[in-house]
Amino acid sequence: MQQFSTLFKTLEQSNSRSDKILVLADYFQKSEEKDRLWAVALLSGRLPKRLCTSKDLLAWGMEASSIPEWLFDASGKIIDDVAETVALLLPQPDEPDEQPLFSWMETVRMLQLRKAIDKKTAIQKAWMILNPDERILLNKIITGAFSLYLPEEMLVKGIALATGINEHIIAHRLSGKWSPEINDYHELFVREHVRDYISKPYPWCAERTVDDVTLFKKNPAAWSACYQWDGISVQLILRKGELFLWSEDGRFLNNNFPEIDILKHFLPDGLVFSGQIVAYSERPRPINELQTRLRGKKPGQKKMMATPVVMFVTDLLEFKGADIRREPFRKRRGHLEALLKNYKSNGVLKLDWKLGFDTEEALEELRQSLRQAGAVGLLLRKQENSYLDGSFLLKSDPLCITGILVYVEINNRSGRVRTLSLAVHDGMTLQQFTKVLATLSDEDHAELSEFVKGNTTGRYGSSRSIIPELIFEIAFDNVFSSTRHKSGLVLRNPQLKFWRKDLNPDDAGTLRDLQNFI
Amino acid sequence: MLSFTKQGIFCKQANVYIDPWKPVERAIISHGHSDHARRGHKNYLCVQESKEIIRHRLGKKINIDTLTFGERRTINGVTFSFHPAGHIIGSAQIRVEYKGEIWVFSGDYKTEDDGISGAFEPIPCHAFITESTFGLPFYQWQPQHKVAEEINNWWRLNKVHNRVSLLAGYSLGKAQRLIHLLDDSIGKIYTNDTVEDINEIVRMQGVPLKATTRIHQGMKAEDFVGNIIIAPSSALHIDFEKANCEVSEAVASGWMAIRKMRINRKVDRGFVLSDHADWPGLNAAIRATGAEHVFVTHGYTNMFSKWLCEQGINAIPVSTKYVGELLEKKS
Ligand SMILES: [Zn+2]
Ligand SMILES: [Zn+2]
Repeated sequence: MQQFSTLFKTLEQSNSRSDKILVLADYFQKSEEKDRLWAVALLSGRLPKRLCTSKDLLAWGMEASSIPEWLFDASGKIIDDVAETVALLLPQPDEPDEQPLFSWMETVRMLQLRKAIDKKTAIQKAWMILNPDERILLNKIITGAFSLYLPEEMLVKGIALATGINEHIIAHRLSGKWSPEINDYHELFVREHVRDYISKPYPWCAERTVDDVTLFKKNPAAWSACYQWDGISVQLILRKGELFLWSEDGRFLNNNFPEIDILKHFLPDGLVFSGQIVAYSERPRPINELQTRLRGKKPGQKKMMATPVVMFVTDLLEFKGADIRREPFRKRRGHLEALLKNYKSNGVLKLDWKLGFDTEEALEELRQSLRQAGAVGLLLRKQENSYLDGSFLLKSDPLCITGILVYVEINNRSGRVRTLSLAVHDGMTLQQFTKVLATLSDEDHAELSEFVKGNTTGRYGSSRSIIPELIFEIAFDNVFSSTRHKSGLVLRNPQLKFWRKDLNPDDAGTLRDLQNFI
Repeated sequence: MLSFTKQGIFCKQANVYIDPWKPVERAIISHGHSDHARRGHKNYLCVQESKEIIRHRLGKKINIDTLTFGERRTINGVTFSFHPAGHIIGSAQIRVEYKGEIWVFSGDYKTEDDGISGAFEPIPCHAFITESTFGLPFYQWQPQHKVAEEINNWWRLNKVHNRVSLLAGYSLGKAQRLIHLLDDSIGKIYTNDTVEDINEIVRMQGVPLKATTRIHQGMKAEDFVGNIIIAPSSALHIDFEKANCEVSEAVASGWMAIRKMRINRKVDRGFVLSDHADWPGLNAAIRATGAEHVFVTHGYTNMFSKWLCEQGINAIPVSTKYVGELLEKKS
């Protein structure tokens, strides 16, 4: 079990994403083959039923150790974790235990059916042969307290790196039904499945952001435009009666969006849509409302009702089982329109390539309407272009506001200021409204650090509250009202523009200014 | 024979203080750490191996006299001698004998022989003044070859993935011990000025320390890729972020034995490695002295004394100004 306890210890400590992925990959290459699926199960939160309470654990531990109760208690207060206290207060074993993780998990499973006294005897015996790190792990597993903040995509990347299998395949297989007691690692992840290809998305097409309309003014009629909403890019794949919903960063989203998953019963086979999933009630909503749907497992009816979603379909990549990405957009769009007209989707699929413009002015007008519509940009495609030619994203001019610096976050390693938290005036008080990355020149960084040192009023981990004196101007794409934020609003894509050394705190913007943008 | 005064531990008969924290006429110093060797005394007496370290830290002008390990010096009928404490290079216990009564001041000590600090030597005595930095039962160290393996594995993995390894440890003692444990076939060992100054001193004394390279202004972030830096992270002025170099940062300390401490420290690895005795070490060392009276200084003094009393040892907690294992502060 030592390899896994070392992995757990490292994952728990490391601050680096890439480091975590590499140690995962290292583990999946070097560990006992039969251990691997157990490791995947534990790391993805598939825990066995709990064997005892932490109160039991403490009592058993106290009994097994030769330390007086008062000292045991005092130590427990310092360590501040029952599983760890018991693990550390027992004597070290003379020699390392060679039993692999899977056989320990087998032991735990068998014990679940036994009487309390048998459980106690077995666990106390286990403690005598395991080292402290392994004991922590065992104690956490048997009390149901094993937890680790590990985003599933990191686990996917680790396995993908170790096996050389495509990430989307790993993600898909991981999300299915399996159990380390029935399946094995090789069969689940490594062996090629005949059905692998059916879940495979196409490479995502490039989207270039442009700032002005010059590119399109030559021949406006050659272009199509639609709104780009504040959502996540996805590909919806329907092959052999199965539906696969992939996000651009390789997450398998079927479980998160049952209203889309169900479309497999309504749509014809052999098609791939690309588009955006957007929170939607009467009109498109900002992406932060989508977060509740992206977190956690399958949502209940209540959660789905609270945050309805739609998918705006922007392109058709596969039709009747054939790859049509090289056909001109005009044709792909034609198929798309026909498809959505002929098949019901309960309003979940939407198509809006309806915006036309025949002059530069008309395009500019469309652009001016973006904010009103709640869109983040205009997606533009040339009628004759293939999917591989990519598309363009035309954004509106950013909005600006000046805010007062109230908090900074310091990078632990370099000591540089990492982020700035800004506030606006709200009557007599200040209201924090956003946080931006401190993209400053070296000189400004030095000056800011100096200021922070002399004006810190409180420390919270790596954050510092400071005397509100400095003014910064930030730009952002849009602002939405939000009940989740104390300021009652949330900015889309805020970025630092200038350090306004010419302004005083009195000159900073107000909450009213921000509300007026909505 | 020894008493605990406001200035420090005092031998009235000889008019001498041991590791005092206020300026005095005559001070006997156990080792070079700043909570034990302080500025301002008129006369210093220490073991030969500690002299240059203490002069480096307190100034070349101090009035300093030395003895070799085991050599005796009698002052007004009181005999003083130094004995290895195994804590850092030049660390000593101080034995004091007067009319057949023997007291030993442990200073800081470690019972595992690290190969460069001298092996801790138990000295039979009537009264033993012990430290208790890690005087609770959950502090139990792994054998150092295992810790070395962990550290070297981490360095190796970093090298494979083109990362800089940054290992923080206190400049006097911990840094040299780490260098001793590193496998320098993996890459180059870099040090900052405070660490390298100490390295030069101990090399002159014949301590076989592995080759290290002093970091200087002209070096680029890329020079450190695949290599290891032994220095407190706050002392480095290299912008790895800007140079797009990934850094893996680790700390080696006895305090890393607890998960909460490791995680709060916000480094990528916390290796449990201490220059102080662990719980079994403290207990074994105290037993080996055969002392009837034990005075417990810096650490968990109250709890450790209570425990010793329950074991039938007459132990009393004493408050001092010693601070236990030093962990470099983060900037
Ligand atoms: Zn010390
Ligand atoms: Zn000390």
